[in-house]
Amino acid sequence: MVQKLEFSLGKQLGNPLFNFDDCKSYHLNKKNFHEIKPASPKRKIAFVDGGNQEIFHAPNFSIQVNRVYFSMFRNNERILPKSDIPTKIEFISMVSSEYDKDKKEVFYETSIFPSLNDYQEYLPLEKDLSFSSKERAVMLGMQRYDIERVSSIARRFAEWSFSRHVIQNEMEDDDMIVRDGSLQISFANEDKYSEEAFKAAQKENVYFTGLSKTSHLYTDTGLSLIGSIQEFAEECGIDHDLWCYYPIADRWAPTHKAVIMIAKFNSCSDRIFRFEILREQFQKMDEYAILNVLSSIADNSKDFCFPGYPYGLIDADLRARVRSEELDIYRTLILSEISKKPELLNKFNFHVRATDSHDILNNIAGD
Amino acid sequence: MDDKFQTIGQIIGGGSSRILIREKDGSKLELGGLLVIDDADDQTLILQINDLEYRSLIPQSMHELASGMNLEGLGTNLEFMEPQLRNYIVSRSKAILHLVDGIPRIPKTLPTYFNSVRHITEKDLKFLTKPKNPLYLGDVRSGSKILNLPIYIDASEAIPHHILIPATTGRGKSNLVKVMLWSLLDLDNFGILVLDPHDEYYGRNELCLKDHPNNKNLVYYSPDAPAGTNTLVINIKSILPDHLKEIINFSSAQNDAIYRYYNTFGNEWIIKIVEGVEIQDISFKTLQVLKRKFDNILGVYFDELGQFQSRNNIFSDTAGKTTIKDVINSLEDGKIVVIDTSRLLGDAEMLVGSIITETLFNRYQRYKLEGSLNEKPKIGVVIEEAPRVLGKEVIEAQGHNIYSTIAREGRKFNIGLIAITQLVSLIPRTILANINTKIILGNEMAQERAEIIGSASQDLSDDNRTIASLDKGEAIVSSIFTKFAVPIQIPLFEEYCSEHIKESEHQNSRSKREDKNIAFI
Ligand SMILES: Nc1ncnc2c1ncn2[C@@H]1O[C@H](COP(=O)(O)OP(=O)(O)OP(=O)(O)O)[C@@H](O)[C@H]1O
Ligand SMILES: [Mg+2]
Repeated sequence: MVQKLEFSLGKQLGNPLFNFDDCKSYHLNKKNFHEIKPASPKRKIAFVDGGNQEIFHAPNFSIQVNRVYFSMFRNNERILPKSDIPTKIEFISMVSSEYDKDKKEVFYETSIFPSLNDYQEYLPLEKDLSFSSKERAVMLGMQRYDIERVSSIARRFAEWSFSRHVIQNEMEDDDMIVRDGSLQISFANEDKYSEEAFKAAQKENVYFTGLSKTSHLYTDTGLSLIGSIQEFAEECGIDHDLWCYYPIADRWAPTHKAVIMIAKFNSCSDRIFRFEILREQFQKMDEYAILNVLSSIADNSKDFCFPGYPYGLIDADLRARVRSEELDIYRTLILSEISKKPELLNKFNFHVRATDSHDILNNIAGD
Repeated sequence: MDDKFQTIGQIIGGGSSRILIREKDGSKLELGGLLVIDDADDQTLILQINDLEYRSLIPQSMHELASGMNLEGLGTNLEFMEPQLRNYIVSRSKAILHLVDGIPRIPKTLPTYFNSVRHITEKDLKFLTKPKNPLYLGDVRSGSKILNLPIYIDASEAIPHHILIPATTGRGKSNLVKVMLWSLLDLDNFGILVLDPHDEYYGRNELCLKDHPNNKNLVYYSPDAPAGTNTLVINIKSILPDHLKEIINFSSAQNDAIYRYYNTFGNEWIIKIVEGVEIQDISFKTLQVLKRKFDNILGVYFDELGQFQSRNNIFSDTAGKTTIKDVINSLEDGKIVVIDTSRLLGDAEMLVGSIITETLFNRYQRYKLEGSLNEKPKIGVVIEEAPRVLGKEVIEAQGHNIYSTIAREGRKFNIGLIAITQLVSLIPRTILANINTKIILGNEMAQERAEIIGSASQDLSDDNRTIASLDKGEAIVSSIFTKFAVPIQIPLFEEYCSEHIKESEHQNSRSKREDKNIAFI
């Protein structure tokens, strides 16, 4: 096994690999390392994250609890919203699928129920959450829309939509917003919401960025891109405390309008992360401006618990996460409503399973 | 909003015996502090903090790593962001009072979850009113903060039900007694006998009870009496065998001898023993032992010239015939009688006390029979080092004495003890249970605390740490006459009495001026 490992990892680092025709990747090059200098920019940073968990489940439908959260920091001090936008929105979504035998396609439909009416304005429209499996842009890396994947659709759309409101209500010139994850979209109609968010950011001159804990990018020799760049940094003797690496690839895909970089945000940490900036903004920025944005993140990435990763995202993850303890509460609420209609309850009991708590635990462990 | 009403914490869990409150950063909650929760309309809950602890949302290992990096000068790029949010203090508190429309009840319900908590203010305790016979103890204290709210107990209830003042040395027992006596001097209807082995209450050379504006209520006896006070001389003939027997352990042969002498010589019995007058059937050896004992304890002997002598000049064969009666009369007049027993050995001091209290007790028993007891002042007897007379061992060896009798039965005759002790554990539970007011000062001995807690009028089982941490002058009043165990700060006597003197002078001059004005009109 060790031999096997040696072989797999002993490969050439290779070059970034993108399986898209529209993509041109660059060779690894020492010149692409840039030092991030501590600058402590005074800008406001908003961090956005969302979470969802299934509470009921049947082969053809799924009921989810969703939560989207944001927080803002300046000089590493939390700042509270100045508008009346809530810091978190919660809603229940119900996704159902139906197979049309004649057309040989699956229709997906999602309904959403905000836990407070006030949240409605931050949520996507139900009509945008319905589509068929044959529809345009059956998105990347997703050959089929199984119900499990689709069930996160409402949360994803809500993240975009909520981000837009955050930008419009709370952010000013030169501020930035950091999303948990990449700026890539993967569902039909998702672009409608992402584009609105991007437009708002451009209008207010707020940097729209994303930071991914994990990255599914590889090199053409099959190694992980992040690991390769880390190794490459060592090979090249990069001794900057903090650095970032770009460009990695040039890609013009309507589903991914961002420039990818790899960055190390804290000298005390070995971890490096994938960071993205909205392409249209990136192109207008000089190197100083780019590194200045990165140093804003670095400044927020000093927490002992997860050095090198922004505290704002740790916080957002913690608050957005739907915990298994909460699920029972929602289940009970829903069941008590259903039980007012005995026939429905009967049917429900036949076809629907409360998502087993073992499932949930596994999901968490697998995170 | 008034700073006093600021939220200083929030309920985050617990149960009826321990309500957990997260402290708002920087609120500096204190052990023993009083907190208030304003629950639904006109329902207020008063809590007391029993314990404080650190909590953190960050795993302990992370703290330890961080501290290691700090100490070793590594990781200067790292910090804990928003420390006030993630590291905090949780207090464990107990609900001690439930106020409904301002009326105190025993708490039976829990306050609303997540409710906010504030510091106590004087207004919250406005049900604590001044009783008819106010005996001042100190001011309400929340942690170490002192409220502008004096605490009084009603002397006419509290004294006959006995008061215990337990504390280790130097925590302010004597200071408290001074404050109490000062306040009692203002009341006319209480006779207090103070056996003062340190001669510290009268104030021979310093500010003390003699300086009270109402010092006509004070009577002082001392072997070395300053002008205008009374010389403490006790006629040896007023001592009866029973008085001695309670205090001193005699063998049965000695016991027999004592009664033989008493039966033979009447109230000259001690003189005859000390003189060495032999009587039939009493061995010379026993007589010699008794002679030596009386010399040791009372300091009385016969010199070479055959003269009766008293080493401390307190016991006389000729003078002091009315002393006991005078003392009792003063007490019956509602005066405070301080007896300087500093020249007496412990047993002799107790003996003097016994003679007085026993005589007094008999008199009050008679008053009760005659139905005139209620016209008489209530009596309190202040004794230092109470286990000398209330201790288990003493009672087991010598049987009940007048003090333990008062502890058990004095209430019926309006006579109570104000007992001071460092060691509560030496006093039997049965006696402790009869003492219905305890003014608990600091105590670092765990066993003593357990004993104090076990015998308190309120459930103080959670107050162990609090009692251990009481500073000089800080106390908890646990009494059947208080609605809850009230934490108080006893003022430093010198400051308290100078203040009081100034006040009363001011009042005097004002009333004089007013007199003048009237005269002018
Ligand atoms: N209420 C108080 N406020 C401030 N200081 C006090 C208070 N009470 C006592 N002290 C300080 O503590 C000292 C000791 O007090 P005190 O003599 O009353 O103690 P005690 O308990 O009677 O000691 P002992 O066991 O020696 O008789 C005093 O001299 C005084 O300085
Ligand atoms: Mg003392």
